[in-house]
Amino acid sequence: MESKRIKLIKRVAVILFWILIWYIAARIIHKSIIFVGPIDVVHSLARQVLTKEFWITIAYSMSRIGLGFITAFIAGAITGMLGYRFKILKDLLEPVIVLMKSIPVASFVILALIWIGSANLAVLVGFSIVFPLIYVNTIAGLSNANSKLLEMAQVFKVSGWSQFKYIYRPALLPFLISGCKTALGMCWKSGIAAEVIGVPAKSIGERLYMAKIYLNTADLFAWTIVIIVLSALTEKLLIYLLNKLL
Amino acid sequence: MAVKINHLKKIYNGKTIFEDVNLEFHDQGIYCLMGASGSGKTTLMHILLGLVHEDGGSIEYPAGTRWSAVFQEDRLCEGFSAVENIGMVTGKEMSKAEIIRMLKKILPPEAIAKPVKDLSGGMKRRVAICRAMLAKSDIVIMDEPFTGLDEATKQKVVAFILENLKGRMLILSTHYMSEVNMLQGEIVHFIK
Repeated sequence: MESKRIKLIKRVAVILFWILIWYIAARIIHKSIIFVGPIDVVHSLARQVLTKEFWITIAYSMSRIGLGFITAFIAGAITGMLGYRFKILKDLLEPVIVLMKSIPVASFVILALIWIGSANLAVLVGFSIVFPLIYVNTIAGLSNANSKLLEMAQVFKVSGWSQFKYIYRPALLPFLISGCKTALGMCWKSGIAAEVIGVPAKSIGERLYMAKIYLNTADLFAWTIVIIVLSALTEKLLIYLLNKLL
Repeated sequence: MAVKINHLKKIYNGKTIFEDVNLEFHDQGIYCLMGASGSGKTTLMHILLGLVHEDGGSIEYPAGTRWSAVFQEDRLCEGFSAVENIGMVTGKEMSKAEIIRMLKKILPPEAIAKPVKDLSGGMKRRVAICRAMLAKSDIVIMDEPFTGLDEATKQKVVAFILENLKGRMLILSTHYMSEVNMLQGEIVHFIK
């Protein structure tokens, strides 16, 4: 088995390889309006990271996208549990979930922009993306609970809480983690897309929009990297919290 | 406390598993169901436990009867320790220390805190037996409980069962006379 150190070296080497390819491609294209290299992006990031506005922008977008995710997670998990328990609710919600899953993000963003304006657009868009995913995964996870163990619990008259802790929770957790990973990535993507369309002040979306207007490709790349890093960090935090709390 | 089975019938997928089964079990008795594989012993036990419905006949027992069981499969929560698996069914009626003390009688101490998935088949079986014995119940049902246990362990487990039965009725299925003798049980021939 490969040691952790070798794995890390390999991973770093792969990343460095692609950064090198990126650098060579930028040198060949040699047009900073179309494509910028890693050095320009680092310069752009270094210039911004020391400003207060950079962190305010991150805090603004994170709070909106985070709020959308958290409320959708709680609502999706609770509704999923209720839908698993009460079939009538599951049947009632089915067309709503199908609609939420299939409606194009762009259409919904424009509708939401008309309904609530741009300030909290990312909250609603994030919610609409995350809710159906968490709902569906919660039902799938609970349905995956071992039926033989449930029979055992019935015989021994195990309490509802213990049934959740020992039988449902282990079945639910892998589905919830997998659903959360997908949902969080999509929440960031759709939330930022909503911000680019709605252009709320002090948001990452506004920065991307400005970068497009002024043809500042280095800033565009820099903010994209910021989004990727934020998405990866929040995913790690979420998985950690899910494992700790559930 | 008595359990009376009257003209019991079970059909599965159009095939009659058994019919006209008439049995009576009395308080404090140890009953060993013996019969060929496929004769329906497990199905009968599942009917008694309320997991399967009969297709004819009836079962009589006092209302509020509490059951505990060792299933043909261990049916343990694999990610949790033996103590947690037993704590799940005993609730607040038994302290963790008491569960550990009881488990130590039939399980090596190092196996007690490990997740059940890391235990051997025989150890899992003993956890399942311990769970059925420690759960608060009036009747204990055991479906071939000694599967996978060597002779020495079997004797230890039988002693544990007899010590903790405390007047409860025990109905178990077995293929071996040696097990009936160890338990000093009454043979109930189960024929279709």
